[in-house]
Amino acid sequence: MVLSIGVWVLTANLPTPKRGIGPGQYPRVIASTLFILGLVQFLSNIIKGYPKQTAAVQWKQIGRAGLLALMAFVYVRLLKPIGFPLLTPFFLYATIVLFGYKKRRTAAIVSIGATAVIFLLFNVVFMVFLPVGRIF
Amino acid sequence: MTNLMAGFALVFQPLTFLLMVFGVGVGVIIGALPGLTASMGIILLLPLVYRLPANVALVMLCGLFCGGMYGGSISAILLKTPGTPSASATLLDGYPLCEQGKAGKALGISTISSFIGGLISTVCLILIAPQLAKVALKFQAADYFSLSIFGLTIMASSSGKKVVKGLIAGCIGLLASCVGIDTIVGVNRLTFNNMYLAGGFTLLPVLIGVFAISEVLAQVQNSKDKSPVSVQAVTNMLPTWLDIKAILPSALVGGVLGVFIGIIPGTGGAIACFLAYNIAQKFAKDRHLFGKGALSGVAAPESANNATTGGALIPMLCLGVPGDVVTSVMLGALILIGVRPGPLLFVENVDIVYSIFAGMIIIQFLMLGFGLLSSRYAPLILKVPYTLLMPIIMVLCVVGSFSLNNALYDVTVALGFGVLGFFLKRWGYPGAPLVLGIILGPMAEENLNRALLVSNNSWSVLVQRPISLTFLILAAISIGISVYSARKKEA
Repeated sequence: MVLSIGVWVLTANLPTPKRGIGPGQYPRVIASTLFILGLVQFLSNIIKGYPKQTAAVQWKQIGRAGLLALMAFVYVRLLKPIGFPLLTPFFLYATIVLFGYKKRRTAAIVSIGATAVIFLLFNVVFMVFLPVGRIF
Repeated sequence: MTNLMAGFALVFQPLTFLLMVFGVGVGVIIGALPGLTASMGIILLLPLVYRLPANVALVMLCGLFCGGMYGGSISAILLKTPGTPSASATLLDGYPLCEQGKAGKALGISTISSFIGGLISTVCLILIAPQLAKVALKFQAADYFSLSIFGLTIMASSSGKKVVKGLIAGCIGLLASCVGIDTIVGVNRLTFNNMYLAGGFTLLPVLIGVFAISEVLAQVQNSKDKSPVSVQAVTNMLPTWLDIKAILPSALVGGVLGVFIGIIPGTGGAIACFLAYNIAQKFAKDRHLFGKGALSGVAAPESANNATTGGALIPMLCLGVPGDVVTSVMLGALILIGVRPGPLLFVENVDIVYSIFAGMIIIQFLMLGFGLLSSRYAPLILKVPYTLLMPIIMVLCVVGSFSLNNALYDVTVALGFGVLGFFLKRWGYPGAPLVLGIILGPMAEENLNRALLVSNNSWSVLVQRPISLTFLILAAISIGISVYSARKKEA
């Protein structure tokens, strides 16, 4: 519902042609539908007694997913300066540990091996030149 | 017939054939691994897909689709865990057979039944699709708009009792498709004056985010290092002639049923396999063994789920409306390589259509050979720990979205949609309508605009044309049925 109101506000000043649907009118039609659907969902939740009946939020689980997402965002940010071949083994190793894999040596070997295979596959076969960083 | 021969000539070219074998192989492996789906497999192959000619890429994707559908049965039989939801009914008799030391026979029956189902669905695809496309050629702007709405509602309705949440996800997808420079007047819309957003959201990063990254994020929540699974060795895979004769009626009925379930948009293999299983349970000769290891109990669902592949391709190719989640990802892949599915595909890209038809026939034989020859190695595949696999998939997602334009912006979009997809999934909102909204959004807007221009801004044009009205009624019926069955389940 908040999203649909936001869309209404953001498209308020867009031009409206005399014939056909304008660039602002179309998103507003969708936003109106979204508002109604949001209201239906909201009322249905109230009738069913939500959020009382829902299970307690498992913050530890969300935290793991949040940490992985954060690691991925930082990894993407650092890809250009550090480069794919140097950075990816560390990212892979950290992710494998986060997933709970216990054999650290195997994790390290897989991290380095997978990075090498992906780098070669994309650079040589697909001709997608992955960032090599400023060191090289 | 000439077109079909030309299709065969293409699929027997060395590169195409090799990629088809590759597609089937990857599909079987991905389908066999619980937690990985055919749609994820297609997404991971996208960087390769848009570097290939359209027909070659499509045939490879079809191989992955069929292979993935079959592969789900391997873990269902050996681990009692279906690799894909479509193999859920297979484990009911497949696993008891495995416990009796007949894992090889169960896998053999599953392979042969999948072949029968796949072949039936391919024949139906070849016979039905061109006829449906001829009808669809009569569509006008208003009809296309209503078709988009029908596609979205049917995908939302397939979300079971969460139909409102499915519709909300679809609307969010439609709004996301509005971001960027408007194609009609040419003004910036919902871009916050950001030059990157002016180009809108590219489909590949969105697909990678919603279907692959969100899945990795979901898996990390409950992950822990598990001891390697113990899987029974697979021997003696070839069933006897008597076994084949016994399962043939169930496989044939399952195949025909699977095609028709597959054609209905929003359904898919999971529904087909249980329906076929129930029918076989009533009429099969070995019905007294159902639940304890009946061969027909493996044959019927496996034939049915593989038959949905050809069925699901019919609405996708003829109308541009996907039949299930995998075909919605395939639809996205098609658009990426510059092919717009719909009736015009049968006029402008006949070569593509017939190479799919020819490819689907060959794929069934490849799947049969691959299944019978390689299933003895299936226990090795199932021993790969997903705690190692998921991080590699995450890196492949990053690299895949980067490969589109060699831009880190696309990777950020993929991660953003991954986080969005993760929370939507956690709160019970399906991802498929969101992506379909982004795919169908521009088509809906363009055709609505055209319909209103022709009718002098009269919205009644949408109900005045019989085809458009039919789609709108069907959309309303699909929502009505979903709401009704959801209420019935709650009561």
